[in-house]
Amino acid sequence: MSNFCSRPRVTGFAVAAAVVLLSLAAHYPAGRIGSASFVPAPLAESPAPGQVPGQVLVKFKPTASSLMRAMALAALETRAIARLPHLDVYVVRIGDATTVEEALEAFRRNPDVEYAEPNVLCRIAVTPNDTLFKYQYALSNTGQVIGQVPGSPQGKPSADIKAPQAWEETKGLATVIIAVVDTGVDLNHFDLKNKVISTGRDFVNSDLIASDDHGHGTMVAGIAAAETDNDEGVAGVAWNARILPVKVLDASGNGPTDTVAQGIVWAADNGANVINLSLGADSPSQTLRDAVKYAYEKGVFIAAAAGNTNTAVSYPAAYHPYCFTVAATDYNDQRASWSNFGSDVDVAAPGERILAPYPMALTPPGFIPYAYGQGTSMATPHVAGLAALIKGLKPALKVADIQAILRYSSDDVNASVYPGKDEFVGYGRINMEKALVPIKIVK
Amino acid sequence: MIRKRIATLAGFGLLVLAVLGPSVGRAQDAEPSPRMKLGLGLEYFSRTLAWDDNTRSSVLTAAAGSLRLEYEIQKGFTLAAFLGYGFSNFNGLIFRGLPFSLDYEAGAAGGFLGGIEAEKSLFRTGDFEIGIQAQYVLSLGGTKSLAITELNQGGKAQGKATWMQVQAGPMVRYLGYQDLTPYLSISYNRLWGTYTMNETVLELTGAEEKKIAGAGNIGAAFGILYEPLPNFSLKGEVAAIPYKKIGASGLGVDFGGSIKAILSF
Repeated sequence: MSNFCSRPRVTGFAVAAAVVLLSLAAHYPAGRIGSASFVPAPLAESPAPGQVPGQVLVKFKPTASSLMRAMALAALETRAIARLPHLDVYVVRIGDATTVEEALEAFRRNPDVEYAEPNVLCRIAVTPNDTLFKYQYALSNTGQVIGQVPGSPQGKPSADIKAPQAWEETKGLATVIIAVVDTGVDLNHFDLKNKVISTGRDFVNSDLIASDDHGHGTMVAGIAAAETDNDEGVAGVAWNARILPVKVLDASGNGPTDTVAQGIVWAADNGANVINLSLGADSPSQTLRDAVKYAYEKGVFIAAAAGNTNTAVSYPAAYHPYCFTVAATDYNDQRASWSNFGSDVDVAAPGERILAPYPMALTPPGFIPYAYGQGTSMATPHVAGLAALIKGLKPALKVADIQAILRYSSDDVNASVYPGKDEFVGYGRINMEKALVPIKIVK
Repeated sequence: MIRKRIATLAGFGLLVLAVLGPSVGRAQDAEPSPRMKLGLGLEYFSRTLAWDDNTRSSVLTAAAGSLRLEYEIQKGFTLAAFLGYGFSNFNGLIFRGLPFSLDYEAGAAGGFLGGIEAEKSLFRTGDFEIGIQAQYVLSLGGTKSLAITELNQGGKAQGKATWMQVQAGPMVRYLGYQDLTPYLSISYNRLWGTYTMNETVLELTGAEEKKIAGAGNIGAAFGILYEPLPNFSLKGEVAAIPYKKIGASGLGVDFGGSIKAILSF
């Protein structure tokens, strides 16, 4: 094992054993996603943000008498249509001749008014219309049942990385490239074919078509950046980022260190902004260390899987600061029992029962090309996707800055037992909203 | 952009020429006018700001109190300087250039404010007097320190605003009343400045300097000068500056007001 990198070991078994290919009624041909009879009708995208027309919310100071309140409302030819009990907030309808902005400005100038604000329409955050999104608890956990098979587990609401909230801020840039250094990528998969920037590089077969003969790399690529809001399949963390496939592991999921190192260096030299390494070995390798150092020094963010043997962090994930080490949590925000640990763990991300694209050629008839996987391999591309979103939003940031953002924005999900950074989930489970959405600073 | 600057310079050039020219004394000022005046001023305004290349907007509200010293160089020509303390509220500014984006909602920050004014009468026709006026204001906000508490590590944000306002234009006074002098002015009114926000979360640091500018540049003001005593006057003014809404169609209007009490000696 020391001479070979592989998908973290338990992942290999886990994906093989625990992957549940989605069953489909026989009349749906394999290689094509099912109709609405298989999954509920797609959720429509939320309407644009807005306000209730002709209405504002006004709160008067407690010292304002009823007369003063009535005068303030009358002066603007407005009238209160409701008063919220306990909050003492008036819902005010404004006259046709006045805009909401004008009314707000007038109310705010009134010394008897504590605050006035538009009656903003609340809505659910950006929800992609991908038909399988409802099973992606990692992105948005509502406590849904994760799977179609009876007895499928149910997650804890909010045990997720807050993707929809973050997508309000950014969906990423097509100029940001995530290199998936893995078993290759299914270049024809309908959730990936428009996202791959090229056919990549195959270091196993020494050619320029990094197709996937195993499945692992396709799943990783889909988690990070599957085509999103395309009415089918799953959503990727980084909607608009592109994928650079680099095949360094063979059909059995193994590859020698020198091949992996070549793949990392090639990715860094061919435009990758982020490299996903859902692979590792138990023993250190100076060659691998030099490869990740090379990429890091070229400004490439590397997300690496901690490993799945409930032991020390594997390599190259342990090569700090070049790699950013990702452990795994589950749908209840609990650390996965098999997730490797140690002081090198930076953060965690959901890695249990993760739905992702699966190579169409490897999908048995009667199934659609999606599968559930588990392992830090599945957790890592969530981090790679988020790093790509940060890179797109703030291109001037250095790799160390992106690493710090990911660490400090994480939710310390095991704080009750291990407050602060710990060896199991590092700084915590990543939180896309905190990493990307402007933080309100108040008095 | 260059044309706009040339127009601005030309406007100021005309103003300087007018200021250097002869002025017209007011008819009712038969006795020599006191040359020095001391006063207190209170001012409030709300101004829509544009930022991020005119793609975003927020509202600056400011209130200030100042001590004024006025000097009448010649009849109908007054220079004034003022110095005071004010509060500027930049709620709604969003800093996306920082490692962690910040949405400023921390309210007003105090700071010193000062400026100069010039007012000159040019000619009179009937009960109306035509003049010009100009003002420059500089506000140097103090540093406001705020805690960032939403992360798993404590952080700190420090904001500091500096803004300036220049306004200049013609004014018409009505001199037909005994103690009251109403006036109307139209002015070019430009507000601009920067808000610098620094962020520190452990080793992660960043700074963003956001350029801000008033959304409208032409305003109108109506005021009344009330002189109940020979050596005491009160001046109240309301101003409006229309602007084109950002991210929406139509026009909006910003309002402001001031009141000044002047003691002559």
